Amino acid sequence: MKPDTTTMLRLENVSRSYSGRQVLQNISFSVNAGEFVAVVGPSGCGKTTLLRLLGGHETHDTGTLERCAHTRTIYQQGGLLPWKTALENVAMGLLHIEKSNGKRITLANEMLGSVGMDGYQESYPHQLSGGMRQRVELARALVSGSEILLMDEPFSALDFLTRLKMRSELIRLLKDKEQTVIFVTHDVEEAAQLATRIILLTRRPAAIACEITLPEMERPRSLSHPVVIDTAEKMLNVLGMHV
Amino acid sequence: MLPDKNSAQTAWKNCIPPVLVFLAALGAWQILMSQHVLPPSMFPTPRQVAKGFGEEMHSGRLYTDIIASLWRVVVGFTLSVLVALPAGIALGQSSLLRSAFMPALNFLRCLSPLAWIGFAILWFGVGDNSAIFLIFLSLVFPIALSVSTAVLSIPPLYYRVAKELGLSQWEKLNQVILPAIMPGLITTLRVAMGVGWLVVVAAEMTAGNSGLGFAIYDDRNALRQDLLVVHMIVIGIIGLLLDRMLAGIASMPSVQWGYQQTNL
Ligand SMILES: Nc1ncnc2c1ncn2[C@@H]1O[C@H](COP(=O)(O)OP(=O)(O)OP(=O)(O)O)[C@@H](O)[C@H]1O
Ligand SMILES: [Mg+2]
Repeated sequence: MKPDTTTMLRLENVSRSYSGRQVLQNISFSVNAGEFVAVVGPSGCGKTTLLRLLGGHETHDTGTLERCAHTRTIYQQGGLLPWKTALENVAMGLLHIEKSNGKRITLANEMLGSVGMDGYQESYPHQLSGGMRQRVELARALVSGSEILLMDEPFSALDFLTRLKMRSELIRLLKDKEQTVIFVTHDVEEAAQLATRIILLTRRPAAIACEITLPEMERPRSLSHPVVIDTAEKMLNVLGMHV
Repeated sequence: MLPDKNSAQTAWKNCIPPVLVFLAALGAWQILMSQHVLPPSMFPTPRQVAKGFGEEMHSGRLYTDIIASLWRVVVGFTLSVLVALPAGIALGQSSLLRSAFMPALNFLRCLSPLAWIGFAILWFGVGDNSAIFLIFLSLVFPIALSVSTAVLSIPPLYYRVAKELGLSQWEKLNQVILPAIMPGLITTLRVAMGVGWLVVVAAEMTAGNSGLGFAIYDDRNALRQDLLVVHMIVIGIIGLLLDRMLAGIASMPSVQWGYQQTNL
């Protein structure tokens, strides 16, 4: 490990069970500042559970977990507060970070603009499409400048074209920022397009099947790039789905 | 322009069926009376009721009765909400409190408020306070139960969001718990107001010396069927208006999410 990298998250032999049924089994990995780590695993293996542990919303049974900064989560089911407008939701992201209410509104407005949601400030979540809600939630997570972003299948409910678009926008928004991202997905191509490193989980109880470090290059990598195709195929092989 | 005209048109259209139903009922009543299907000794005619209405308006008694009943129901309702809302939120958040208080709450909820009338008169005498006490007792337990259930069913996801955004206990209450239960709370309050309006009439009949319930009691003793019907109509209309007022809160934009089929 290079001396100039800071560890943001470190897990050592972390396990978690629900009423006697093991979900996470001896998970160990660490994440450095600025990394974009994709966590990929079959449905129901324990990915959301892992993120809940990383975010400090639940405790693990055994092992050690260190978190060196605040986290912000983008939730699989959508975490916007339905009784607040898009602008209010994003401004909530700055509560206790920015003291002045006026400043919070200004910053939230700017952030909404940069995720392409100008003109929807006063809309409530139920008045927005799924993709728009994801943009607002992304804005709320990013506006705080939190060092660690935990994203739980943020784009999986979107149609294919919107998903592709959101991938490049996410990378654009993260550019020039030192934010660390843990990105859960079940989509091997998505992981290969976005991540600097991929952690593959086995079926429940989830253990780490393998880690793949991807070559540094302009992201999102194109779907047809050989690195993406090779990596995706490799992941499918490990997951036991030969194509 | 166009949507305005349309909504005015639909509002107008929505008015027609109930007005027709009302006119048909009035016509049927008149026919039943004039054909002697309902003998005049059993039920008053529309004309008699209209005359009785004029009489009550003229003497001013109708206003004082309405004010008396409204005052009692509004005070009783407000007091019960002030107690039941915090109690329900506390119950919804603590399983210890629930296991301690739920059996007692359910026991009290099952007691008809009219069973308390003996004590109400003993403690508060005949008048405002007895009726307010009975309304309070009949509303506070069901509202508390309903609020605690609503708090219990808030998705844990919202608590996670609150924690992550660093909300204080007070902010969590104000910005998460209260708005999350608001759509259900509005319905609970509408039902409660309806029950309160039923109870005030019953309470005034047995422990009152004024109000619409007492007026009904008085009409019965004086064998004034025409006034009985006048007061029944007034009670029904005011109940309807109270419900409309509370239903109006449901049009606030920040509770609309609770009444929408979201495209989830
Ligand atoms: N609160 C809980 N209580 C009991 N069991 C739970 C709880 N949360 C998760 N589980 C169980 O843990 C396992 C993993 O759930 P988790 O939501 O972490 O999976 P996931 O990998 O995120 O799945 P998906 O890809 O479908 O989102 C499941 O079998 C689930 O039943
Ligand atoms: Mg999940």
